[in-house]
Amino acid sequence: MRSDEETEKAVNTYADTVYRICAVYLKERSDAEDVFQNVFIKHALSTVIFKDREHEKAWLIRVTINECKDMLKSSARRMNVPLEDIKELPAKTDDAGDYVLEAVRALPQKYRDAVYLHYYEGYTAPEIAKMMHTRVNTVYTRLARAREALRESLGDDIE
Amino acid sequence: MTLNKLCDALSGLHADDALKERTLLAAANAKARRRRSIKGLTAAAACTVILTAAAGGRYLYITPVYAVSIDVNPSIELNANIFDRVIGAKSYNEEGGMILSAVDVKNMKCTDAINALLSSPEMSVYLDENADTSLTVSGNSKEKTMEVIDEVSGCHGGGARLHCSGMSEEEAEAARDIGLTPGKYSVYSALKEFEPELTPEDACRMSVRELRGRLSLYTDVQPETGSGHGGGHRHRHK
Repeated sequence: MRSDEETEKAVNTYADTVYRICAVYLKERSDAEDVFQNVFIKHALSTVIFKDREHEKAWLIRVTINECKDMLKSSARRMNVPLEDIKELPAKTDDAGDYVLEAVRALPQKYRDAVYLHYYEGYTAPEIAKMMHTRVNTVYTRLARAREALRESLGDDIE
Repeated sequence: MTLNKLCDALSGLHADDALKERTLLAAANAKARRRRSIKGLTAAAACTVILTAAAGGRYLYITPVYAVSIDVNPSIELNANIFDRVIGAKSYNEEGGMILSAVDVKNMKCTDAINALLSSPEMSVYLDENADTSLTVSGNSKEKTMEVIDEVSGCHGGGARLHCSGMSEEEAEAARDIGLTPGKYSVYSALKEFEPELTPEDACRMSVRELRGRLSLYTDVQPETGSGHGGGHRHRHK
């Protein structure tokens, strides 16, 4: 288990990264906040020894993505939530930005990882492949398909 | 540009201080609970462990540990649990669907299920001495994969030549992503280097023999002819 200081440092350093991944996956604020807490609880209880900050960040990203996927599975089983109880994650108050974020949320889950990690975090395909335990070619395929899907839904230059 | 808009949208998102505070409190509580549970393992907790193990048995039964894809032209994938029992079966093309609707393999021992499928009347129309049957085992454990390859290589090829091989789970997932069984994916991937216009849909419609035949035009891989079983073992576990 990590000390309170280590946990606080991790929250202060990586809170926004974790929160943004939640935004890419989850629409509901309550789900995103649950995932956010779960990720840092796992970090606090974990005995993994991080080699460096990049290792720690990659670990948190992977855990967040997995938690989001689990949340989506359990959300699919929840039914009849009153509309007024659903609070959505706010994006920057820019309709174009909201629209794009919605289009990314509509992508298949595995494409969202690649889009966020490559276009926002700046990871290369080999780095993403290593982080997500998949093949480099698979990452390239997912990025290509994501671009195509975004092109179809947004009808815009996407580079 | 759209991706710039995405970056702008995400850059505007921040975890607020209240959420961070609640998270730190939740983490502290979780650590405190963990310390208490490590200290006090009571008889009640011991009983809970036993009951959880019993429930865990059911969990073990329904959890897939490895998969075996069967490709002739019908393409089928069987999921098996730690007890080598088939817990799921999926077809990848219409021909495979017809076979599965005629032969119920659920809960059968994996090798029995493979034999049942390959010896069924529905499958026999695809199996002759010139056909190739590919059995590809995929899973997270290299040891288990090798063990299963040894077992399935004893299956009856139904008159066709039997090829048994293994594949890592990540490569198998890449295959499933594009709608191919692991068995066809390995040949498809190799052939695509020479025929870039080949699509997964094309490969899905072709038999293993056709794919290997096409590949032999470009490489030293020869499409084997003749009947018999126990073809080559090729393991691609990374």
